[in-house]
Amino acid sequence: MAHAEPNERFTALYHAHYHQVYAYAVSRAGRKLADDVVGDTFLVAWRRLDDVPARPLPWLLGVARNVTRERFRDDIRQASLAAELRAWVVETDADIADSVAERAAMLAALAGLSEDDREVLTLTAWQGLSAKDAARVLGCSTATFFVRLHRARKRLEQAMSDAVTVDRHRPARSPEQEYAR
Amino acid sequence: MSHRDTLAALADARPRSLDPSERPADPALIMAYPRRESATRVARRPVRRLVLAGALPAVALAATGAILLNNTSGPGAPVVQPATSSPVPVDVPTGAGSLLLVAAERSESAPVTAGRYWVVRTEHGDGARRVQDELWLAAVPGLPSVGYVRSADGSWTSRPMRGHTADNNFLLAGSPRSARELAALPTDPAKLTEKLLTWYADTGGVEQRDEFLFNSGAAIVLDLPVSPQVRAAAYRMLAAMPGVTSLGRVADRLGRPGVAVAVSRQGDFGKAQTRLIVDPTTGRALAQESWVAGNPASFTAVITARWSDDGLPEASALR
Repeated sequence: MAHAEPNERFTALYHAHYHQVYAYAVSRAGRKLADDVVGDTFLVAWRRLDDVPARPLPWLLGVARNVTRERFRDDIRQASLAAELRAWVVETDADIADSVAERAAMLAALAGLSEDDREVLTLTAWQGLSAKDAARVLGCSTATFFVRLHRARKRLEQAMSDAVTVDRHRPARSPEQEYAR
Repeated sequence: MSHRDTLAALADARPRSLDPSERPADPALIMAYPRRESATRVARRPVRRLVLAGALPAVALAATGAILLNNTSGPGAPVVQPATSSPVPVDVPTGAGSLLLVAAERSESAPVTAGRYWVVRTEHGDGARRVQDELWLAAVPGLPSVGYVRSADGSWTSRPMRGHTADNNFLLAGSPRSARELAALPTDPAKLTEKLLTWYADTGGVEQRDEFLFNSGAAIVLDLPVSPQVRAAAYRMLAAMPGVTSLGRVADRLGRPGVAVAVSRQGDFGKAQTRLIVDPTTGRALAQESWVAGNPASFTAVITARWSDDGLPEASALR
């Protein structure tokens, strides 16, 4: 693979991982800025093609992480991200009526967490990275990542249970309960 | 809820917006850049933005309902240069030079004005996507700046531009600059070149020197608040650059006739070219375009660039 023409190597890399880099960019900077982040990330990858490891995704996301931090003024990125987090709750898919409230509550709870907590959780749950790969993205050890993930998960659960406590009067329904009437 | 359930539930809640709504842009756009083993830090925004599908200046972008205008076509539309044909380069060494010198002369005689706001209306985009926006950029301290974006039905929406002040509203030579700095640019072409090159050193040389100068010169004549004499100096600077060639008569993406001058670079994939289109009769710069391997990639066409002492308009007042 290392001997393939640079163009072919890069094109393969780009098409294989564009979606993942885009998803990460949206979760860190909002959809408005995501295209810029993706473009700059792959430009770095092109310029440093020989540095890209055999399993490129953690490296690409690490670059995207740096790009997001360095490319935008923080207030611009925060504004875009805040809009994105709000949109997630509003746009929660109403296909499956039962779980839409739960999913919306999950996203709302997520929005209330710190950016670092959100990052460890979404790298795991939405990007599907192993702890080892996620640790590489963040530049920490795998052991540290496990600890951070554990803590972030607890905080998310806390936020969810706080929301449920407030909302206790909402009746829980399930299809079985409906038909069992 | 068990820990495993939490992560599974979180995975279920993954928003759709994480999936791109459009196909990725052609990677050829990226491969047209030269490969370098240089620093990875994207410390400063390059003067020429990398524009991919859907990637447009953050302040001007609306997430939905943004676009835009159709391609110029239909009855009564001005004759447009077919996008796929590349004009035959006019290989006369002084061709580009004399065109630009004419533009310089025309510019120079314009009256000097200034104002509270520098108002720029542009249409820009790549591929099928186009956006039209009007930016009201504060040129005097203490004023807010606002962007207005046009939607498909022709109506405008305003977007506040937070953090944009007279001190940083104007991107030139790799950095945001103040209205004051631009007003102080030299009116002598050699001194202007010298000034730009001091800024080039700051960029860390990510871009090639000639491209940097061309892009800086283009920015000055296209849409930056400078005096007509500085604009003329920029034209003269461009006229003296050996790498600048004339492409002869073209129409910009809005169908406006002009002449194009360009710098080219051989990327690994194909020739990457930056064009500046100028109306030689008025000396007005019309547009900047990026072409890759003979095909149009992205463009910025300036519709108006002017001073205003008015207050910020309501979006509904824009026409």
